[in-house]
Amino acid sequence: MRAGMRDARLVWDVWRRILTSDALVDEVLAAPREPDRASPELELGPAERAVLAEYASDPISADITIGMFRRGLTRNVLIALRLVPLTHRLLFSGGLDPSSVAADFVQSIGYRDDGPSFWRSAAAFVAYLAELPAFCRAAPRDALALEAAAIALMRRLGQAPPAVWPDGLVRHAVAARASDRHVASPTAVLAHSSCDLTAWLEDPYGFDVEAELEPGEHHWLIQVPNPEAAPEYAELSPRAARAFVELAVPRAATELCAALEGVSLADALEVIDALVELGAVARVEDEVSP
Amino acid sequence: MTLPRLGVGLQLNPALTGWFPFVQQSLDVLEVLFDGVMGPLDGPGLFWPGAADALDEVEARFPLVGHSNYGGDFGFEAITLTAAARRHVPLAKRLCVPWVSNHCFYGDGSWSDVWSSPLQFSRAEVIRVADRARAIQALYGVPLGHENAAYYRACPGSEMPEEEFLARVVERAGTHLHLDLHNLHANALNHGAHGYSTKRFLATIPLDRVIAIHLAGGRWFEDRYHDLHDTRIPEPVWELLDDVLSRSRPGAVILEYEARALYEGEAQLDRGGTLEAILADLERARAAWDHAYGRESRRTTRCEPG
Repeated sequence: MRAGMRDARLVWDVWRRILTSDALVDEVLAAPREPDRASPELELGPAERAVLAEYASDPISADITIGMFRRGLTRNVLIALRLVPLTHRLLFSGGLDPSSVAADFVQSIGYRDDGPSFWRSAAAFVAYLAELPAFCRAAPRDALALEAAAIALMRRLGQAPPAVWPDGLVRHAVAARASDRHVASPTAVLAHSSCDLTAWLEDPYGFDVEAELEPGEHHWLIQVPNPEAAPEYAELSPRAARAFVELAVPRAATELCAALEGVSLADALEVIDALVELGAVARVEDEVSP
Repeated sequence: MTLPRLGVGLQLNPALTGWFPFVQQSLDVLEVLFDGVMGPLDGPGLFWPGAADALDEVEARFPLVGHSNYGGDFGFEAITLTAAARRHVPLAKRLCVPWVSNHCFYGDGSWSDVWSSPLQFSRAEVIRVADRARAIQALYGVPLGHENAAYYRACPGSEMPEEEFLARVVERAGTHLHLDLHNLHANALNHGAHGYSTKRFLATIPLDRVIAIHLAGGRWFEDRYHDLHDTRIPEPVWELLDDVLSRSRPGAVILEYEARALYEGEAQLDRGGTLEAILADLERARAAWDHAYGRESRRTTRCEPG
């Protein structure tokens, strides 16, 4: 046995390279040849060429397993899309062949294998779909952008979960006081659309993909109440949206009034209460510990 | 570690969920595919959104055991970074499973290349894989069984048959085996001409360390037999089951189906035909178990004292 073949890690690494390289696949499935005759442009060392030659000695099995790998990638990006129902609905009901689109996407990213990192996979696939002419109308474009923001939020929460999730907070019976300092929850983000996505968000698995939605700017709070929940959406008024943005840093209601310009203290407290109810902001001391 | 003797059950496969009437069946055990319910590795949740609620109903009705395909258990990544450690172990603890079984593949961070990556059956890998197996079993805190793989070609550099490799791994690691009889059958069909032998396999592995058995079906195409789980269980697999049950005491026999419409020859059964076929296989598996250990030995037919 050749020395390199004894190194399981090396064999595995070469096989992973083969799986993701059209040039190496061509080499494996081509007519058998001596290891040192493999194409020089493949940049393989002698031990790696020996491994490649070993796989090439059984091209039928290699072909089957390479096909399984690439079909698996296609299947998995479609599974990832189940995390984002609006995009899933748009792809599966928009007259395209989802499997064909997914296969093209997988090839376009060099057969990258995100494995169980499904949010990363969904992020890349949604970004790819957003560039397709089929999704260039305002409503699909807005829906994809909204879910792209939700994906980014979920990935951020995966990397840095909050100390306290909104569902774990004790909601105080008393309304916010002027001196209480509030801050936006890291479990929420704001996104905007150029048309009214309400009908789609209310029926994400069954909405009419061809429907023309009412144009106009809308503000959407995307929020994750607990680690096991899917992202939830709520529409915010322009004033509440501005307040949420201003509360990226902790502020008392009086400070929020000043930041929002022209909003009374009573109105600021009302907005804060509404955002607290949604789990979008919390009192600073609650955000640290429930 | 004491292993419960449960009986005959099904795998809770995503292909069956939503239409197969699990809760109406008298199952001794249900095998949860951790990969099918785990949350994405790059998100905050332990469960895939909605999966925890879906499990509640079956969890209340059946004893659950755990199974993992894509844990990355035997890859080269640090164990703490694997799906096994980050998702499967907490799932096993949350679901209180009495054992877990995993697959003998590399598959670092992948859900797609595992089926093409059987372990290298080499002396060096016996040591590396066994050490990882022992560490992962310790994380689970319950017996961990390694499933023999169906593969299209052995990993280059292999120095011994799969059965010898597995026997050495469990001996060194103190772990267990999960015997997939259809994988044995598939390998015998694909590699029999090159010396693969189910008889030798079963004579070599320590049968007393088999904690569970998988049964499934598959099909021929492109000159290979494929472990597709999309047919009824073939006759040679039933014969293997009778043989193994007569020589071992596993905790469960689990039937695997991974299709909404099973194949019967070239034709596909409709939903009703598929349901009937699965129920008939289940009945036959129960009969095989009862013949080996007695009807009262299964969980659902056991006479509990008092």
